[in-house]
Amino acid sequence: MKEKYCEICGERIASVEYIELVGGHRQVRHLCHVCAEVEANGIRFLTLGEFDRNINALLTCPECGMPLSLIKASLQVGCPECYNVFEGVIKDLLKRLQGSSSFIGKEDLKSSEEKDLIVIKHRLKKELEKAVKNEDFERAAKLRDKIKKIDRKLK
Amino acid sequence: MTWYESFRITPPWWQNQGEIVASSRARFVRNLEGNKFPSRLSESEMANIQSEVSVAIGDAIREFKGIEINTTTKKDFFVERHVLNKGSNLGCYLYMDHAEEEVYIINDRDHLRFKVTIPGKAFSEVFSIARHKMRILEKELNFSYNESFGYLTSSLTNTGSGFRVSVLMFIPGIFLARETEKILSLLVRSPIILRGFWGGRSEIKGHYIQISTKFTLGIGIEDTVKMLDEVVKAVLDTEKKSREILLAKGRIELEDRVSRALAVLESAKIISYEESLEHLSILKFASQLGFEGIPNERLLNRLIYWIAPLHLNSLENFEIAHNEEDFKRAEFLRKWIGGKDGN
Repeated sequence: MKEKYCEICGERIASVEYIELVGGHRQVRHLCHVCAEVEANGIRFLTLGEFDRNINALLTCPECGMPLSLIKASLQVGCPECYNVFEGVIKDLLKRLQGSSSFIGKEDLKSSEEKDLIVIKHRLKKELEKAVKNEDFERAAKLRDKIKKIDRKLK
Repeated sequence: MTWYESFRITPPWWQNQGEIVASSRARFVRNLEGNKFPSRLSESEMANIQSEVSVAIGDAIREFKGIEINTTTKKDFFVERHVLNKGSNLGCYLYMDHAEEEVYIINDRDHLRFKVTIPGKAFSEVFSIARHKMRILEKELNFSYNESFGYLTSSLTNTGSGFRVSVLMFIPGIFLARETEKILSLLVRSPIILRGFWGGRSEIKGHYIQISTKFTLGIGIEDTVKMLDEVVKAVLDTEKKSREILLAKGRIELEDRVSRALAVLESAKIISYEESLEHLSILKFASQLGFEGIPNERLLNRLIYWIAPLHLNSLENFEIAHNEEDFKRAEFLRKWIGGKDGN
């Protein structure tokens, strides 16, 4: 896109869309930030970047005080409530980071207690063999107890 | 007794590491419902979390060592020991069993971080143990959980399952045969990440790499572990082939590197951590290949651990002056590799 120059000075890039209501009509002019400030009697205009930064710094989590700007910069949140307060933004960040924002690993975590115990028992047995071979009988006794415990749970 | 005296042994999971797949690790991150994450907690709030989690760890604790991480020296020591991360919080608290296979970290970036490490390739074992422990803890503790995001964690890279499986691999063959491109191409567009074992992604030292699952959302845990398994198999394969190629076509060059490494370690008067790691790693490789006149692998594993700055320092009660570290390291290596006492 070709850069537009300020309609007043014609020298600087027009970075402000200056909208006025003149006699009930919406009048749009493209001005540079210097001329726009003069037109508006000294009100400071923010660039879009500045606007974002200011808004983000103002938005903080009411629970822990974590500013949204810091969440965006560090990819860290301050408390579980941040996830609710900034849900939309966090969803976007998660999608960008992880390619998705939905948790689908629940089943993997909840189920198959039995399977885990069998795997653990298998490992303990291997260690027991090693302990016996090394004549580390104190450790062997401990391992035997652990295996018994698991056997009781598996029944 | 000082805190580091009970850490004079090299962790068994390291000492008994597998030849190429050195060890496997699973990690869970969890937080307690209704509490801010540690970065925004006051000291007294942190103490409350610590006691709540400690009680839940409960029975196991009697057999566990507990260490408060209250100085940067302690922190850095456990970073070297692969228990904490560079970014870990001062003020966190560790519980670990004597073999250092199971580690609970309280009030690091999250309220609770649990790691289990086993030598060799053992994904289903580490996953099962970690899942089992979390299941037990979940009966006692109310973990912060949300229907759409899953488990809520301080870092958005852990949100969801809070779970990661990783594997440590020793792949000197791939590095020496310049086949690293091959394994990097395996990782493109895969949900798997590669890191150096020491330091970050960019500084791979001592021919160790760590390969880990990446995503905690949008993909089932069992599925990511399967993908990790595939990548590990391919890397293992490449390493084996690289070793064959090196022995068949580059034997003299390899022998030359080994002799030089040995000569440096036997006779250097001043040596940095990085340089000694590089040479020890070459010797370890030579030992695996059955070269003669090389120290055995178990000694080399141990040395690789103890030349790290804070571990070396702990042997001398942290009294090594900063400018003497490289001198002490050279002395230590001459003693063990050269069989000379350094005088």
